[in-house]
Amino acid sequence: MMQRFIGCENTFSKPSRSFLWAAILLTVSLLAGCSALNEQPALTQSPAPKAQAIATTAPTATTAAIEGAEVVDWLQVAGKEGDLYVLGNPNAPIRLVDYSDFL
Amino acid sequence: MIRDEPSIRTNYVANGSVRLLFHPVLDHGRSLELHTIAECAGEQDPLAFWKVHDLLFERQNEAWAATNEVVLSWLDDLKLDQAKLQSCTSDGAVSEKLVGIDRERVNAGIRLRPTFQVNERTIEGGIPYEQFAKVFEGLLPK
Repeated sequence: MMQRFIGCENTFSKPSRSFLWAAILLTVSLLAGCSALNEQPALTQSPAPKAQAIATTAPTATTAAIEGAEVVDWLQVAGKEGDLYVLGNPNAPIRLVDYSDFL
Repeated sequence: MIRDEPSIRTNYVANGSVRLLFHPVLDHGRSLELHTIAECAGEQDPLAFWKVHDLLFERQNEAWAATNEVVLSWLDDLKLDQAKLQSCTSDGAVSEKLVGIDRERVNAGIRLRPTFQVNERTIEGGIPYEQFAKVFEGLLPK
């Protein structure tokens, strides 16, 4: 009777252990998954500041070209348009002609 | 010179929105000589034309009576080739060209001074900076 009981206990204990191991494995993998998800933003964020740091210390050719375009001082650009002297951007949308005398 | 030209230069020429052209007007006996000096400076360096332009307006009261030699001495800081400058100012070709440019103005019916042209629009007489700014803003892409 005792043996049968034990046998019965054993019969029932094997699936329980398997279930327990499966539950442990599932929990571990879930925790690992969660921690991986938590780590993901850190991974995507960390390279960005590095890229910014590189951009500020060593500008690319494109960045340099854009910066160069932004810093044009058109007051230092002069030429001629027909017979008249012109100051500023030769392709400026507005053409202002001043008819004047020095005196 | 436009009274508010410095503001126009700072706010519209410097950023590339407006290009400023100077059309000489020969209204006085000394005008031709002074315009010739500015023109000759410009032949060496177009930016020097604008420096002479600004300098002549700044010293307008002295320029009336100053000889060419005195006016040329005001340009020492510009580091222009003085020999070329003297030769250019004494050469009648530049003066002749300026007379022709002025004649075109008269023929176009532009007689009031100052007169401005903003693209196709003609503005006669001085107007305040705010009015210029309003005209410019209406022409600039939104």
